[in-house]
Amino acid sequence: MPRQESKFLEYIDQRAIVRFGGNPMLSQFPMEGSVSGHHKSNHKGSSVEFAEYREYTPGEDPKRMDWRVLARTDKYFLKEFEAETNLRSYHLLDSSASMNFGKPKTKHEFAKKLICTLSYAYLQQGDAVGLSLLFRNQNEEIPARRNPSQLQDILYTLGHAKARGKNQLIDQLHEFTESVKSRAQLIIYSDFLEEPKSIADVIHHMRDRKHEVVLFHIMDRQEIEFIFDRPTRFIDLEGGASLLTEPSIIRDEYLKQMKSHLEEIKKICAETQSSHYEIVTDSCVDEALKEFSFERIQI
Amino acid sequence: MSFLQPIALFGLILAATPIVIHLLNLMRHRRESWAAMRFLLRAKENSSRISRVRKWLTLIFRALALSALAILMSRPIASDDSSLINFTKQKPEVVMLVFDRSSSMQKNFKDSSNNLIQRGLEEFEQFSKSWTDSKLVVIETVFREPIILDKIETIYDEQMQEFFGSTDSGGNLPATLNEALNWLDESEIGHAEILLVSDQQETNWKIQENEQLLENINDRIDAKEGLWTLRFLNLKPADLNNLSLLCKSYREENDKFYPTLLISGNQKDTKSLTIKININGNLSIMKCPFAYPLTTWTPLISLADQPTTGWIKISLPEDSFSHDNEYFFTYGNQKMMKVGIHCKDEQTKKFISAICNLRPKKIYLDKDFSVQKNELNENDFLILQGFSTPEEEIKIFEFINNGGIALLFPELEDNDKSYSFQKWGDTETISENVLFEISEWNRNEGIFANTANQRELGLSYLKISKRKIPTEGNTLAFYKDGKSFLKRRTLGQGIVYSFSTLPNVEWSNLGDGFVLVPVLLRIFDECSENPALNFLECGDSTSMESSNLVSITGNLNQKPSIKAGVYTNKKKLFAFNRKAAESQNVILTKKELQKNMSSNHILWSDASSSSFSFERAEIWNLFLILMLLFLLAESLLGLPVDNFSFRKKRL
Repeated sequence: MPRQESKFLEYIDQRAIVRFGGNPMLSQFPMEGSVSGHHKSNHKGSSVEFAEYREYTPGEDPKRMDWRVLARTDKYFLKEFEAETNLRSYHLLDSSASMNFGKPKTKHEFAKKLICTLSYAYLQQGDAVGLSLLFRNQNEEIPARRNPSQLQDILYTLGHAKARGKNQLIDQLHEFTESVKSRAQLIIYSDFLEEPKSIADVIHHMRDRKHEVVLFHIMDRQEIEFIFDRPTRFIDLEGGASLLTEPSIIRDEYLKQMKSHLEEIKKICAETQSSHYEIVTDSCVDEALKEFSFERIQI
Repeated sequence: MSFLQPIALFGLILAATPIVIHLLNLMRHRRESWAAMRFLLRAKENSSRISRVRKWLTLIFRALALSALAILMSRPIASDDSSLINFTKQKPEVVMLVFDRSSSMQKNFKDSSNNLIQRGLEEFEQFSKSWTDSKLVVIETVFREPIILDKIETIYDEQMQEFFGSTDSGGNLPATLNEALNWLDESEIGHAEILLVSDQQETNWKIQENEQLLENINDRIDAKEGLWTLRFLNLKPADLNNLSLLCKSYREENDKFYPTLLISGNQKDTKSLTIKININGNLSIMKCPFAYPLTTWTPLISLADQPTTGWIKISLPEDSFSHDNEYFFTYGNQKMMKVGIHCKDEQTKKFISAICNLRPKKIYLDKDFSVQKNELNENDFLILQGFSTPEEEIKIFEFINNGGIALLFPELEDNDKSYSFQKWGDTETISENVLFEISEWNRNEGIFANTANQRELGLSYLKISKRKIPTEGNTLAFYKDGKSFLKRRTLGQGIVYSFSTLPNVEWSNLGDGFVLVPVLLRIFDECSENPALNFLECGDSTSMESSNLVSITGNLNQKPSIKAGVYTNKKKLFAFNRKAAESQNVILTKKELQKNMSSNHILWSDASSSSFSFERAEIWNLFLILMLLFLLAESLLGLPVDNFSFRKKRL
């Protein structure tokens, strides 16, 4: 086991941890945590940050009454402070066969690195991290926990995970959304080769449930640029029909389709206040996470 | 269009290379696992027809560029064919030049320093370039014998100047052309390109005389249905300052020589000419008044202190075309002509004797001449009608061959007697109501020429009821049915005149004398003035047959068939002059020629001074440009469509 652990520890990108590990990464929406943490809660609590004055109602705890206001105005007011809680961050990894594409790393492998790095960072700041591998028929899940052994579980699970089968991402995401009861951060790692409308539906579903939605749109360089020098037979990774074509002829149309698809997903994310990051598998993990962490550390 | 390196056309196979490579690539495609198949499928569906058209256009342009390269390397040359490329037409087995080497071809070509002969040869060189593998044959008007060339450059060889150089002779183009066609027939040549190069001087064609022959040539070319193509190339001479000298007649009296010279010129302001008279190598100068355009001048040339026989050369001043500026004479050859009459038919004998008596000072008449008894010499003139022994025949043959002249009349009897110097047809008789009529003769020159006051001889009034047609020699007058009334044959150094009828009342009214008298006197004049062949012309039969003559006025290798001058043989002098007809400047037009030669396979073109008529310019540069254009088009097709749409939007 120790040897396996050291092997899977490679999924945690040290450069990224060094680069972003100093400051906590905060959620963009209030969270419902079980313990005190760095994230804004939807409840008022006893932190140092003043929130508002509220008129005292009999039966409430008189310890929170502002005596100075009573002395000046002869009225009973309660002084309320922002509550800060921990975050439940769920990492949802699309494990369909299409994620097996990419050079030098497959999209699935690259996603694993992202998940492990972020899990490490969140666990370090006391947040709970959960994992769900989205397969065609059933999901492999690790519930969100904040104990240190959680990282071991995640590393182990991811280390043995392999992308396979046809894509049923949308259904799985709907199902998963239903299963998460309280507000949480849902980070989806996928190539999102789905109809934009169904992607929009699932993001709306998540947002309706007050979850913060983050989309890591992982693509390979070849998929983006589509450079081939001779006729090629393209074989569908998910078992569909093959296609023999002259890539130079359809390149323009392919790139147009790809661009349009990306723009639609970005538009959906903008509408739903979700985050969308385009990741290319030949980039470094710290570069890939730069924008994500920058936006959250600033907050 | 034809090619100098046709083997390079195999490179056209390369044109298929882009398409073959494209198909091979499709067969040898790579396999690639792919995730985003939905975009691919959609892109394939949506990839517009234009994209596919662009792809095929690109392939086509590549193929065209390679084709242009292959054609470029095969060194294409332009042709005058109406079609751009004519692959269906076979290569000719023979490319033939029928070449006019008459004297007039020595004139300069318009706007050029080359003469017409040089230009003609250059045109033939260009003409032959189209068919480099074909056999090259030249037939020219002097010798009329085909010369097969191993390579085109031979026509410029010094050694071949005898066959391709300039001459002072005339030319018979219909006969030469006919010889050319005969050779093609005999050699069983299937496909031939014939180029006839000439200045189209009318006297070299003699359309009226050769009408039948030209129609025959036309029919022969037509019958070949395009396998033989005849092209006329008309070379126009430059119109430069020129004087021309001809001799109409001459007479010798005591020690004086009187040539009657015709001097023509095309310069109005010329009033006087300095004439050089060269007598046996002694030069003297005379002044001649000149009146544009033609002056007749009879100078008195004194032969005192000169040898009894000798030669005279008269020269005009130098001008643009000097070959017609000289005239050669011999003198001292005249003697009393001895005319012997050997006629069985008494009427004929009587008429002929009467005519001979009209020239008592010039003619010594022997009415009862016997071939067997008398020694024949070359100054004699024999009038023969009816003789039979083989010894007589041999004697007469030798007499003619040595320069004698004989006038023959047919036998009275209806027998098939033929002689080695003349053959006769059967006796033809016709009723009195419908007589044999004479319709055609040369009214301009020769023994049937019009009189000095331009009156025709009364040949058309002759009433001929009986005739025997002579078969050997050139016809000087024709019956209406095309048969010969009188034939003239040159045999060795002598001449045979053969009548087809007798001055006998049973045969014709020839004895009335209105035709026979002038004709016979003219024959006497012709022979007495020229018993030693004084009025000889280059290229005529005498010059061709005289092989032992040595030039006095020119270089030793000079030949009378080609070059004018004074020649000698066994101390006898012969003056050969430029063909008189060559001084006539009447040019045959295309229309006139097409009256008799209307075949679609006979083409006409005029030589231009700016470029060669059959110049096959190499047009590789055209294909180079085409290749670059195809490559450019291919490159433009390779540009992304977005670039265009982007530019459009900006505009």
